Amino acid sequence: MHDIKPPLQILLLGAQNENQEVKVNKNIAISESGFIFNPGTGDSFSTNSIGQEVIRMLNEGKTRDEITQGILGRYEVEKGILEKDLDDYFFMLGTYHIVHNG
Amino acid sequence: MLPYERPIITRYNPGITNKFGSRVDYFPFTQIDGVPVKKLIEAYGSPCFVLSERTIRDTYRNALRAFSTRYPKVQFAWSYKTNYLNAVCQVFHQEGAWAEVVSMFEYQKAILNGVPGEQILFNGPDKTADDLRIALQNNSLIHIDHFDELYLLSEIVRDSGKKARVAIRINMDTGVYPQWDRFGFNYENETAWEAVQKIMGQPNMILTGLHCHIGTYMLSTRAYHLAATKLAQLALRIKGQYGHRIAYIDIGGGFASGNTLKGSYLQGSDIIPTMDDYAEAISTALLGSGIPTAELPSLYLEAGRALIDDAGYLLGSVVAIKRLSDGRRATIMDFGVNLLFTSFWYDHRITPAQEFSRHTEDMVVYGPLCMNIDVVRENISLPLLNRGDHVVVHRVGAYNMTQWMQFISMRPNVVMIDCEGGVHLVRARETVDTLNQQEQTPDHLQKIQ
Repeated sequence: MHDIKPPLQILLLGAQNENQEVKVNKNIAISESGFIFNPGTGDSFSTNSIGQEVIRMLNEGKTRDEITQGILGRYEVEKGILEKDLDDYFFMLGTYHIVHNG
Repeated sequence: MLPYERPIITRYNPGITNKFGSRVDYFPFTQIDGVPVKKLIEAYGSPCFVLSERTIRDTYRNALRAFSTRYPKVQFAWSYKTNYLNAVCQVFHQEGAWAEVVSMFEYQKAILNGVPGEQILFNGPDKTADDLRIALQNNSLIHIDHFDELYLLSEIVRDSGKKARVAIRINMDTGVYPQWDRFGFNYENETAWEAVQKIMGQPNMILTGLHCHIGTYMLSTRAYHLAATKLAQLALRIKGQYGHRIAYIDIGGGFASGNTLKGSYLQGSDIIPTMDDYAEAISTALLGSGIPTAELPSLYLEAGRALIDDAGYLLGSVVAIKRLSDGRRATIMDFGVNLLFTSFWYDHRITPAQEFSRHTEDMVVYGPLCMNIDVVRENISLPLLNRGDHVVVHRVGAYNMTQWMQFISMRPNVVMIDCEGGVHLVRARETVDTLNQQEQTPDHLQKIQ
């Protein structure tokens, strides 16, 4: 019997909906300028300042809802647009194996 | 509150050529001739075409300078098919350009714009008997495209008793591929000479000019040199055989604009010849052809694209942002190939009209049509865009406002910014009534039941 598991990003989206915890993988290195390195795969990335904030909040153990509220409290953005953008950002973080479900 | 930017993460791909290209714009394009883009969109909606009168005049004057400083007798004729909005045509006519038309519709536009009949060059393969009669009546210059037209005109002039001023369109090998040989008479196989002989035998036709149009978006000035040389040689042969002097040589158009062709490795603006380059190639060919200085023919030019492309902008807005199945970002604009017909062959430069950060995204830019071919840019790297953001598409003055399609939505407003910064609506947006007034529904189909 094969163990059929849904792809990671689907798990992540599900986790967001249920407000489950998403964690940044322990081996991921992030610089202050937004440079990200994954020694497991050898991939490197860049993220913008809001992206850095999201990852920082994830590292602080904040939930998706807390991250949303944190950004809404500081930036000029409607909640619907932010939710859509965060969905996409979390999706990409999962695709690049930078985060996992806690 | 801080300005918001979408969170993004971009993977580096070292060692792999990036098909999306590199970022080209570092500053937002917030105004056109001093008028804020935001205000233009507030007043005239999005999308909206904007034309700069100042740019049209500057471009025309530069072209006229380039040619008239090298050749004694130069006459431009505005290529109506490139952009026949009346306001645009009138700017060119005010600057001294005649009219070059390729259909009776365009001919009528030129007449309604006040162009004297004798200053209209009538090109094109489809001139009806009525078209030819009108052109003959107005003493316009008729550029004959094929023998059928020549024979038709022959009948008409015989019956009218008037003399027709004609030119023949000549196609030839100028060293470029593909050779444009579907229009006019061929030079190398002597069909053009045969046409000359037939016209010279017609007492009611005056062979006034020789015309060619060797291609479009021509990057080689050498091709123009060859074309001008061949036409001059033909003029000399006519002089030698018949003692008849050709009054003008019309070298057509086809000069490139600064747009970037699809597949081009370099930006268009970096590789196109300047107007001086074209002028140098053409004028040296004519001056060195052996035609005595006192008998040099006038040089007519029908440049369109190179004179109007830079003056046109398309303002638009972001409708939506999505991610495709392969992970690529897609941005949907409120303009597509319906308005930007030239996006089928150009990689148009698109610049956001508001501040942006240093971060960019590789993306596909789609139009709003419910149609798979509606792709404005297949690969482009742009700053982060949000729904509702405005963008400016550059160099859209040529062909878009004549080849635009009315498909599932209406054509938008077109405005012109005058030389003092005043904004004028030069073509109002279409409405459902614009189309419905052309339709007639039979009585039995008036009601659903």
